[in-house]
Amino acid sequence: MSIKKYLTATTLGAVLISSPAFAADIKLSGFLSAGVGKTLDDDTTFSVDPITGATYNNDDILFAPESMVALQAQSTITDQMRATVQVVAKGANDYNANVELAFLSYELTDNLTVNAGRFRLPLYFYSDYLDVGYAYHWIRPPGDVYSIPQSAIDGVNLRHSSYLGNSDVEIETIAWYGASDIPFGEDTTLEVRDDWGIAPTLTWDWLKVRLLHNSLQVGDFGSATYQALAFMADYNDFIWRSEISVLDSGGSETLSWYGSLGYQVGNFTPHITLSNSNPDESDDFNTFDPATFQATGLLDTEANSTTVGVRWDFHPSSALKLEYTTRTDESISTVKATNVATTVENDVSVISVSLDIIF
Amino acid sequence: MKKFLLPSLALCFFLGSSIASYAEQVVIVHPSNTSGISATDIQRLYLAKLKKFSNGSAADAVNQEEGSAIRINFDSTVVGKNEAQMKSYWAKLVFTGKEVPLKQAGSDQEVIDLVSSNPSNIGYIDASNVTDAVKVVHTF
Repeated sequence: MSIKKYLTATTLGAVLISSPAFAADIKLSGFLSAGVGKTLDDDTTFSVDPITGATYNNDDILFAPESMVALQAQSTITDQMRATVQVVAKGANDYNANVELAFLSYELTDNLTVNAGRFRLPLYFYSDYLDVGYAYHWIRPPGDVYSIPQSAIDGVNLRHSSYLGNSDVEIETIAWYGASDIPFGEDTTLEVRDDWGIAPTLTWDWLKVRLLHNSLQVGDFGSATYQALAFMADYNDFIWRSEISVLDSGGSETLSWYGSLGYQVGNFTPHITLSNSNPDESDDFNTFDPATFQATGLLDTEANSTTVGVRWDFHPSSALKLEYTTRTDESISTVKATNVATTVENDVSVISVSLDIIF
Repeated sequence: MKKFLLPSLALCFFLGSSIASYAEQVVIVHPSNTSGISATDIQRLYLAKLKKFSNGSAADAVNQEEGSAIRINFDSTVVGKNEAQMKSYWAKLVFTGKEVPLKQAGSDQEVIDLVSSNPSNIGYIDASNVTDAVKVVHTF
């Protein structure tokens, strides 16, 4: 998998870099995160990335789970056309390179751009730059909402942006259609098809509101839809971030949300975040469907998390972050084997530190 | 120290705004650029929310060197973002592939060279370095 992706990246990179027509107008940039973390109690683990499966544990101080580096090349081909390639290597993947972005952009009008190729799924507010730790205040956005097994998809998207009339209200909309194969278990992949969505974002002064609708087909298991609402504010030195999401999959709904408040004091931004993920429990004990579980990767788990942390902008291109997260989840175990639901409560606390740089 | 401070304060008071804006900085375009350019337009140009002048011709915003005093002042007074906020904002645009980073010049002279040689460029420099090769459209 990664060798093939690596070759694709290398080939694309070589094409971009060697072709004389592009030589004058290539912008190279990148970002990296060096992370470290450990859980605080015996026999506990804390998942930090649903795609790589990276977790912190109590036995070791681990550096690999959240460390990564990315390189990006952007080539302006004509005034209207541009190519973007981004290759991401994560410690949790043994730094094998994965192509996260590889698309051509064409400006149809001043307000409308079409992009074709591989792009990050713009599901939630942070989804299309989830790897760019420098661009947000946490080490990672709340896992109760952001446990999405999918990062990039192959397809097309349209981006539109304009101001409403003569006002200062900006509306940006992205709509997409595509497909992806998600690694699932050891040797299987889930085929995600007919993945389409639309997400308008309204920005006015210090307020931002984003809506999302996404619909997809998962292999033979059926369809799923995501609907989400984000409400963000940057008011003086306060920052507020919140999202709520409903995943409807095989007749079962999962509601998840977070709210985060931060306050900038000079170069420091202390913050606190609460988050929750809750499958509808009214019927799942009786109608738990292993196929749905396999299709969505969702375990019927209610979880609550609290994170307190601080971001220190010690340099214009670098931020150091320290976070403490405590999470309680009630997972229903043994349901698959016996069809008898047993609720188990797990508590985990984790300390993590990250250095995020852009270049 | 106190003896020095008091007369200085008095002097500031009497000379008023001319002292306060001792280091005036300006936004410049090519002399042939006759577009109306508002403060909001300039802000949007540097946030990549606007790509054209009001006359419909292409606009390319030119930045000064990262960390330079003039860029920090421009970002905070004209764009309305501090250094870290501006970096985060652009990191999001660049690493989603939506925009390429703005052109960057190393000095006022380099900004003047870029602006005077290309009518689509717009830049900002210290007012004391303005020459006939460029036109001032905004003061901050």
